Amino acid sequence: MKRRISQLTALLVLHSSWGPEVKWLCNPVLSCHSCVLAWFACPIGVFVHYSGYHAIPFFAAGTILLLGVLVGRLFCGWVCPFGFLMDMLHKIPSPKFTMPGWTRYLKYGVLGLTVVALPFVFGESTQWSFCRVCPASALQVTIPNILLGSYGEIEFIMILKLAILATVVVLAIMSSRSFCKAFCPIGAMLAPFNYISFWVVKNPKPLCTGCTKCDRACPSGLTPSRNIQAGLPANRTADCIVCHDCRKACPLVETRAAHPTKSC
Amino acid sequence: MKNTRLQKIIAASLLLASAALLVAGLTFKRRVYDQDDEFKQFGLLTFTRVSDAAMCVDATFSGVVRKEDKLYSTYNRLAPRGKKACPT
Repeated sequence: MKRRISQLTALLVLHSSWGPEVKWLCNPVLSCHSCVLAWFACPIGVFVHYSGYHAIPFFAAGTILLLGVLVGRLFCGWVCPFGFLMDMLHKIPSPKFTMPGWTRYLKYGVLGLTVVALPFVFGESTQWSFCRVCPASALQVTIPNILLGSYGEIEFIMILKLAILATVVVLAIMSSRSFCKAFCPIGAMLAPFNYISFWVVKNPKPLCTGCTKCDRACPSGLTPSRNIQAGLPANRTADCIVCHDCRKACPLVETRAAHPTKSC
Repeated sequence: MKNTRLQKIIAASLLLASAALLVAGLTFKRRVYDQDDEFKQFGLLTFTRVSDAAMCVDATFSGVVRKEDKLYSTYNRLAPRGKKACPT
């Protein structure tokens, strides 16, 4: 419940540009800064442009590095509006499946190719950058502009963008957080920080009994019980979105909350 | 629950690196040549020194483009900018 409130609050705050813009600051979530309501800059858009400029984005990189080291992928689970959309879509009844394990590595290719390499070679306005096909941008900018009649000709890249959004939506309904696990370049940037971030998901003590309720609760389809049984925090995995659902599902944590004087 | 010594050293090093990058971002300035330069025909180019943080804002609406190994503004930096959307 707290996570949903946080996500909803973030959705409203990140798209309520009633105050000064803070677009010198990158917010490590997938939210298009081209949206007229956007407060913050999208790190992907900034990195794409800097790659095209052949310049190092000191400030943007420093911000992402700082937030990554402090909290890892916490923003993915508690702030990202696109992640919130993914969570809500997955609640729609449908056949469900888990993405194959190898798809987790696709996002690093997306990051390397469409955010760094292709803009570096072809320039910041290239059709081959992530921004041109970003599903968040399709939702926040392309569709509203089409509805407002702001676009002239319908271009191929626009159709591709909308097709990608449609695919992401269908995948999200059928597979929890599929975009976040397999394709999100911000997730790819933040994933390595999960291994060293200061923020940890506290495990119950004594160590788990192997009931695997945490594994079943994990929206990313991970197995936090393996980490817990190895004495590691549950979020020491690249694809953990630090949602704390595993901790919430743990019966040992409930026992301690119900009987605070009783040591688990 | 363990956080190994090596993880802490790496995290601390990366924190220092992020601080250095942030300081660099606030202090480092790049030459961004002005658009529609009336002196261009005489081989003279005027430019503005733009901080990295300010260029971050420019990146959100393609306010800077790269041409012939130089960075150029796509808008008049002297006029009030207002809210701009990224054309991508």
